[in-house]
Amino acid sequence: MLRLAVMEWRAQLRDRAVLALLAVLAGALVLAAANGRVLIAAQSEARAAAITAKAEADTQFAERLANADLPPEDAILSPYRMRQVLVAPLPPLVDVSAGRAALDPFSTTLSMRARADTLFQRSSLDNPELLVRGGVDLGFVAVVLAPLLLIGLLYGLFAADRDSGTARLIMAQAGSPVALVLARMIPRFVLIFGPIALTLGVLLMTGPEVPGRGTAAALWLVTVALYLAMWMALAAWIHSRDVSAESAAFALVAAWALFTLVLPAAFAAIVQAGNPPPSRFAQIAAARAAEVAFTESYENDHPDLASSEFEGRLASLRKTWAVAQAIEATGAPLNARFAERLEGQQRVAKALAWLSPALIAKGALEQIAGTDAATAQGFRAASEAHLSAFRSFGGGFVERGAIMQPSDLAQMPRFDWEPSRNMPWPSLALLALLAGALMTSALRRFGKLTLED
Amino acid sequence: MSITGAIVAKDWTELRRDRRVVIMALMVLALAATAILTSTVRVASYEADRAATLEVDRSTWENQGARNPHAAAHFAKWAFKPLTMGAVLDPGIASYSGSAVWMEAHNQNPAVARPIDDQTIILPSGEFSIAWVLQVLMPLLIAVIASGAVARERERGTLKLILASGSGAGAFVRAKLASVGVVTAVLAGSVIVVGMVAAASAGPANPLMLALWLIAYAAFLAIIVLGAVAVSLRARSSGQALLVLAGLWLFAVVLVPRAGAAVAEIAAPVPSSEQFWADIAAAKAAQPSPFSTGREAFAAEVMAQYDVTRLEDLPVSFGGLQLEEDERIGNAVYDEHFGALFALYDRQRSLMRWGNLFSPLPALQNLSMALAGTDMPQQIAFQRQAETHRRLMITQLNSDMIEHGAGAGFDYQAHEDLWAEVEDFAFAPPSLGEVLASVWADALILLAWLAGATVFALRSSRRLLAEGA
Repeated sequence: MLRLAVMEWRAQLRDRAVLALLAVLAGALVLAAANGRVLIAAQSEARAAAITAKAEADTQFAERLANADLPPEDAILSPYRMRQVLVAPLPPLVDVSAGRAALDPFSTTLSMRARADTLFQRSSLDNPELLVRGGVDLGFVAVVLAPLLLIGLLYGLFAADRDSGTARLIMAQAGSPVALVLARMIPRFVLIFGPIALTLGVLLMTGPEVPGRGTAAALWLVTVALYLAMWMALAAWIHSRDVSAESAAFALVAAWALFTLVLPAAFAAIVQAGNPPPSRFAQIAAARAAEVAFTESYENDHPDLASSEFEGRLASLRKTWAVAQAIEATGAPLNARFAERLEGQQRVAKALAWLSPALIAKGALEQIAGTDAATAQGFRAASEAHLSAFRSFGGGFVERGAIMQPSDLAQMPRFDWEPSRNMPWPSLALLALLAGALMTSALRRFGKLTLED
Repeated sequence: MSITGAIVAKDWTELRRDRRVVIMALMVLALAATAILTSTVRVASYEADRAATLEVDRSTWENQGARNPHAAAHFAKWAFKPLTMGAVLDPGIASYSGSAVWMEAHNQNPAVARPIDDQTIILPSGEFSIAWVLQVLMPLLIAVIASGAVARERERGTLKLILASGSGAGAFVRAKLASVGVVTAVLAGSVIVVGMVAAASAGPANPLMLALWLIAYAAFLAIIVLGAVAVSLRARSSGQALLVLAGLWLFAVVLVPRAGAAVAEIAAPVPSSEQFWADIAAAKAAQPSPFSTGREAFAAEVMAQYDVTRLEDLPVSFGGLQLEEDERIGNAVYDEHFGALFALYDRQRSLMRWGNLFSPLPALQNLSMALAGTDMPQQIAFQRQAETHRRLMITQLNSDMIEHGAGAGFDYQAHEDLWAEVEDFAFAPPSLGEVLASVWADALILLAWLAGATVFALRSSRRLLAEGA
């Protein structure tokens, strides 16, 4: 069989159509690698800038608290001078499977004025025209392009032999065509999977060191191998039926379109229709109505300008803090509904994804890469929870009328969120099961083929 | 019956009997119907929501009571972007762009409330809509239908018979083009007509824009039909034709638009949000603020202007003047940074146009979004108009404080009648002429592709002459 596989390998590399397909794959991989490097560099730099800003904010605030010359009427404003920068850790494979990385925020700045609904308002400047078209990353190549290219390479797997009559010749000479089919599949699989693995290797070698990157990359590669094996097994299964080469090609292209395009589109409609998020406009209007209802005068925005006396400023701060709490309390039910609907969407999307191997693979790859929707939502939720603790800490000083001291810094809540790294074992198991079952069934059928078939 | 009519009738019958094609066509039509329904509901719900919010917020604004105008300027107002009827046909960037701008004092804010932030599933190619069905699925369906148009006749051996019957290769190719064209027209036409009716019922429609949108799609689908039949003319078998067409579809429809976006991102990267705002903060801090570093100079300038020697003697509010001066300084900084950002978006669009060398889809997408009122230039127009409105509104509030707040400082409270005088933001969409000016290059590119596809089909048909001989 090895000799047959080597012959097939050589034959493939002499075929102009195969070379054209491989050229498309190579072009996409070069672009994916370049795009991945740009993305991880941008994400690393932006995180570094955020971390620098965080350090500067911490230093400035510590200096402020340490300034013994600060008059009490200024020192009382300290809670409203607090800034904290929250930064999510760099996902281990953001350059490989970008997922929602280009869409979702990974840092934000907290202050006493921040609210849960306004925490990420200045999150992205990316061109929506680019976002709507999507980028090319290795995950996209593996989930969307690679299966169709593999289907193209597998066109001559066996059905064409049946059409042309050479299948009978093979049966007469070699008996079972199992070895031949395997010898044809393996080089084709390697031609698609090999360059993807190679590109992953290049990204790993040229990318930054991120904790867990090596393990994640290994698992990512296993997922891609299983996913492509599933497509190969499906092709083998279809070719093992009594169908023409055209019907086999049609069935495979249709299956690809169904799993990769049609079902995700239908699921998107179902998920959105089933769990429509509340109105962001209504959320804005409700917060504003609450603000007007609880605010009576100007001090809400500039407590430092309201009065130059200690008592006046403290009174102003207390009013500001009370108004902020009232607005937060008014908006809390609506904020909770947003979170609830997003969780609902994720739950339904996750359940429906089991019907499409493409969505299973995409979800698994993004989960391994740390760029999935759940991780992004986790950062948002953790940031919102931290904001609440942060504001309570600052608000306590306002309520007590106490001036913050340097020793209080140690009590300031710290953000130490780490995403939960659940590995998508069920997805991998299902892909392996599908690949194994289809391949076993296909090989058994090939094994049972007779000259009369 | 003419040879063309006979071939069209035969192909039509064959396609109707091919359950695979019928199932696929029904699936595409079902998806199109779902897209029309969901888009119509989404646009109607968005607009109802926007109208209700405007009403509530107007009432909140007008009933904020007596207040310092600068407090009102901090509270400020919001600009909400309307969704046009075109969004039913093509939502364009609507899900990925902010739909609301907070027009507050001191700050030019970005557009926020992106629908994508509240969505879980991101499709592998664009946003689910009628435009998506026509741009992505319809070409694949045409590829399936057209793959066997000529190649299957060749496989069966009927091609030589037809050519030998004296009907002529040209007439045969025209008949095949008509055959695939009719099926495409029926399928795509039904989707487009229903979509247009839904769009027209969603709000006031510009018939000329709708007609141009229809023409753009007709041209795009004609390119696909011509190309697909030409491939079938050249292929040895229908299976081979199908795989070649599927490969071309994958390349031109799925890969090229994404590759264009990826290249644009690499060649003209947008600064990170953190960097952008840090640069603005630094630029503002470098200016002499009338509240801190530049206060003395500004006070001297104002006192000289009003011919007084003490601020207390000014006939106007010094605080109001400080605020207005602060806005003037800030506006220059924002003009520079947002101008550079928008120029970068323009550059990215120009870079993405290079993708048209490999596919007509980027040109069609630009045309479709522009005519639907959901493209980036119209988003930028919204943000620019919101910023203009912000500046006028803040100046109006500052002017009231300047004129009436002398001596009272920030304790001055404006009468609540002032709030009623502040107008709501109303987006004025670009005219058809302005829209066309932004996409004329795309229209030309699409025409060039149409001409190229026609030449390719004609050249491919010449092969039949040799085959017939």
